[in-house]
Amino acid sequence: MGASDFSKLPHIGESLRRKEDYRFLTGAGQYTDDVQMANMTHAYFVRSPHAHAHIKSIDIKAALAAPGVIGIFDGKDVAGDSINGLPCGWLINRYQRPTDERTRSPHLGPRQGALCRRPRRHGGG
Amino acid sequence: MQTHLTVNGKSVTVEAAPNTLLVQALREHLHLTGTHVGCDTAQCGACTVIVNGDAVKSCNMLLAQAADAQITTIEGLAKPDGTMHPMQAAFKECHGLQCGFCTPGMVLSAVDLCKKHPNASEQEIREQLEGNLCRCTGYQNIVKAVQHGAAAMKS
Repeated sequence: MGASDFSKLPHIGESLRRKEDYRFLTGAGQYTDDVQMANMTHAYFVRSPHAHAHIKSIDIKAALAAPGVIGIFDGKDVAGDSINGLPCGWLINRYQRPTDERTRSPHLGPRQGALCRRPRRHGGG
Repeated sequence: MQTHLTVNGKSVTVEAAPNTLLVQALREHLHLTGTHVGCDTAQCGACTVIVNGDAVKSCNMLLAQAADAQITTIEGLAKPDGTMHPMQAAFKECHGLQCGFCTPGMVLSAVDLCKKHPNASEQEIREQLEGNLCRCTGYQNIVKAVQHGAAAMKS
């Protein structure tokens, strides 16, 4: 098909009316944060603030004691359950990101662990 | 703690902890999830609602501060029969939204702006909407929508 033939296709060069606008404009859109389900928990991913740093240890004691925290999972837990690395959403064959190499953070901001807690906020935190 | 307020014309009483933010009360207690939390730090304006006739960032206000106030959220802007407010219609008409996340706050800020400054110039609209961020960066059409909405609100 030559370039000029595209003009004959339906909707080419035409303004289309969006079907989703009404719900977005009236507050009826449903985003991830709007979903509320029974016994729902929230996960936070904690990332390393340092690139290529050696992880000597991760101390979760204080975080685990915080009100509402259900569990904290780091690379060791993930490896123990044979979950493997977290898959990347895009096709990058060269490298699958480890959840936590335990000894080294390969990039700035790999996921060092997930923290699950019940109420989303307590005391504004 | 009990707080009484009027939300979208309905009288409601919310039972919540004293440190509950207005946005939390709206979203988590009243399930009005059209008001969004974008930044939680009063920068993005996605949580904007109308409190006693003024556009306010509801993540920066305690529920207790809204006691006995008249609140309008995005859910309360259209007519009960579903007909959109002229500003909502203008946003649709001018393609003033893409992902729609900033839209509720953007529309309510625009309504407040055009009520107070019905003849706002393009420059004034841009300045007045400084507190509402659109991460799709659709500002060009948002400004166009506000201009159309302002004209429609006058007629």
